Amino acid sequence: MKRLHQIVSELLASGKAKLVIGYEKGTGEKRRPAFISDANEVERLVFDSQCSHNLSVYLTKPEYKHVTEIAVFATPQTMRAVVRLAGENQFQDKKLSFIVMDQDQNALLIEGAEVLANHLGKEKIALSSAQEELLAKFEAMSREERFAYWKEQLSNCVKCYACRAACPMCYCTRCTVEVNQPQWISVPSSLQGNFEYHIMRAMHMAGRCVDCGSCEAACPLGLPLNIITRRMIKDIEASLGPDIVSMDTKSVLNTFQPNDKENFIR
Amino acid sequence: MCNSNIYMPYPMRVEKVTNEAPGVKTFRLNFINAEDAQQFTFKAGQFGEYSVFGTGESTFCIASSPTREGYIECTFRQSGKVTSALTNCEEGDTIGFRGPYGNIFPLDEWKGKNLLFIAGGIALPPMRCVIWNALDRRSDFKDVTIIYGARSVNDLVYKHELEEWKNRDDVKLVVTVDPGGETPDWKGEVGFVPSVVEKTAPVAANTIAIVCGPPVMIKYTFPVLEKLGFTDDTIYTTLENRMKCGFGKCGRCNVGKVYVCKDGPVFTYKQLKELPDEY
Amino acid sequence: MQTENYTITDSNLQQLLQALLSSGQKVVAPVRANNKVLFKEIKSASEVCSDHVQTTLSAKHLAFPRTEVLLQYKKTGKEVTINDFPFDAVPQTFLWGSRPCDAGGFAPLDGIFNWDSKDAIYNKRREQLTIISFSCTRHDDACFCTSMGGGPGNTAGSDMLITPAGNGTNIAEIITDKGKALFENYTSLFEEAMGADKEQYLTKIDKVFDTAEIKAKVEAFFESKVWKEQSARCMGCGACAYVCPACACFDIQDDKHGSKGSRLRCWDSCGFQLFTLHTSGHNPRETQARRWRQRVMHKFSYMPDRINVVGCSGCGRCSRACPADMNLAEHLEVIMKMEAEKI
Repeated sequence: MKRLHQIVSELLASGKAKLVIGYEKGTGEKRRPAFISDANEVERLVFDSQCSHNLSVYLTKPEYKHVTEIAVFATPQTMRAVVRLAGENQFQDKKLSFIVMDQDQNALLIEGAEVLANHLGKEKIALSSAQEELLAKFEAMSREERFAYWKEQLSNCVKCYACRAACPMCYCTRCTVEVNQPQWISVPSSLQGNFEYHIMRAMHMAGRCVDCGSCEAACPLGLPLNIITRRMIKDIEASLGPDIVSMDTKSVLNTFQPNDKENFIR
Repeated sequence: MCNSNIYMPYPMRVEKVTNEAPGVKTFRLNFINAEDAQQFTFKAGQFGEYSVFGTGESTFCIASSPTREGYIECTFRQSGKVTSALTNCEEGDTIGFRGPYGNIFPLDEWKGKNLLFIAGGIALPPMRCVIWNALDRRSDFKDVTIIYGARSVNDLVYKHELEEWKNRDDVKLVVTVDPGGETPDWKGEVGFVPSVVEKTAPVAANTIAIVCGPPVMIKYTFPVLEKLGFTDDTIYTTLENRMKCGFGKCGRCNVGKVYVCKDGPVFTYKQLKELPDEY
Repeated sequence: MQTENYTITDSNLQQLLQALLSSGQKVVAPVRANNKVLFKEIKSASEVCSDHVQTTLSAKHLAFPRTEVLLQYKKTGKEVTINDFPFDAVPQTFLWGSRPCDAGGFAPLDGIFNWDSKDAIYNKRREQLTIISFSCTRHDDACFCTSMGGGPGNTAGSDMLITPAGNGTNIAEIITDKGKALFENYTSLFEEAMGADKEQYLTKIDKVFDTAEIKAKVEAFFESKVWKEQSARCMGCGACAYVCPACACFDIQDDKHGSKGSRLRCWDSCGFQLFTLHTSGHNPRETQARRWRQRVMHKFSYMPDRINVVGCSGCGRCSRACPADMNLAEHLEVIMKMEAEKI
């Protein structure tokens, strides 16, 4: 922890970071996001295995959009999101630093999203065997069973949009659910509207999702949202090859090439 | 009333549509049910929820004077979902209206005083209601001055009424357009509302100023009025925070503990000074 | 009415619930689903979950559903027929197994929906609702009802309150006329009061602050940077408002199906960026800090001022639900300890 606090102190002292987004102790045993811009407060910061929030989500929030020099504590999930976000040109005006934990749980400073991308390597998004198992169980259901399952699950969705708010890839300044001319997605929470919302979100995540699990973790109702995102990751891999996180990977559903074999978009 | 559904609108017939300016229309609305027309009353400054069935409700003031009975008028600019649907309505269509809501301009308290109306752009409609209300009881007030500004000549609303006010001996009308908004034959003022007010406003003594306009216009006009000697309790305006219900329940329009829909929309500058900066 | 005390055994309590279900009454009770406990309509007494501290969502939907039809319309040419809310179709409903803080959460809603204009739709649902709460014998880190004027055995808002007294018995308090009506239908299931003090069976939750003190403090610190500090990690979702028993902010939306449709009221949240956004692009509560301040001020200052009720029953749901671990009780405590010079 001493090395961690030292790195943060130096970043703040040198002005390389005007704001540090890290973790601190939260309610009970929880860890929570912490925002520090005063070197006197670095003692608050912790970084251990219980830290799970994907802090890259804050980098695109309106409150922090105009802060240029930010240092972020990055878990492997956060790193993936940062690299994808950088690939989507979200950090062009930013000077970012990252504090990551190496294999021996030592804090390591990485300056710049490109350097972080190199550090991460060409990581492939792959499901763990436990996740595969869960998906297999779900896929063993008949079509009718699956539909009944989602009807039951989504009837509990209250549309609080915690999944969207916690997702680092959901940074649109005007989300589809907020467009009302035309009204693509109905505003109230109803079974049909809830389906529309979650299908829309899944489509916008295709090839972009970094499988950080933030959406499901954020859902107060405990909806199994990662079944959708993980199944999508599998589908993409099956039809387009491995889902590699890098700054130059184009996402599958918002890439258009003139020589595309599908012609519906022309 | 206590046991009835407060969200039920009056069905209203769009009696007449007037194109005021690009994107701006005035609807004259008649009550479809005779008993609604009979029991409906309102006072200057109040507002309502206008609805296109299947699209939703939108909040704006009643732009006609309570002295003109049997109908209400509203003027709106096409900007959001509901105003776009309203724009597509034709004469004879049925829309919904519920209201009136909110407080009023205290015309009775203003008896014997001079009235100075200052309006900018699409904010003339809330003012028009008070102007006609005052003109319909003209003898209650002394001098009446109207200063109205818009971005361009084309953006001026109620052109026929501006003409009518201009031709009255008992009204002083000053119309201005922003620099660059004038046409070659424009005979009115050119300049922003605050500076035109500074140049043309009557003396502050015994005068009530009523100011409606976009936030930036209000922000720069109030200090001018104070400089001219108006005290903050003689300057009135109406706030237009986002609303859904109109009766203090939906939680949107409050500025601190003050609900624009219930305690407003009419406020004096003095009251505004006491509010947090959340409007 | 004066509260009446009786005793009821566990098995008779089950019989009471079964009898309500058998008579065809609509009963809503805590049910386990997805590792969460939610209030759902039950068909059998065995569905009821009783080993939970708190349901994820409050019971407010029984009087203020997350989406409800306010009126229906039908267009024929230029004519529109409007059908009023079907007041007579609101079924009598029994809320079984709520906590005292669930029942207490209806007081703020009653206030909001009845100051000035009376919301007949809300009132009808409320009138049809009988609340049978169970005192708390356990609590968790997020609970702070005692600081909000409530408590694990508080009777306010409940029609009947059951306090488990061990050894298969319970203390039954009949609090209102609705509770009395239910009691009178099933008198034989109840026995004379045993005269025991229910306090001994309740969980103990320390009172850490006082609502009047909070009111004074949050008002004094309106311009403080504390709102920005606390909301720094707020991601702007509506989870806190949607799980809250006292949050009543709503939106009105039309739902169109061809030539007919309905006008709906649905939950909304002051935490959403769009909540106060004007069509012009101007937003009076532009930052999350302002929205967080509004949330706290509304509950602890504006509501006490305007409708004489605190907009919080201390149930702690917002803190449990917050994906960024914003803990309301903790944040209030911080404000309580702030000194004037910290502004």
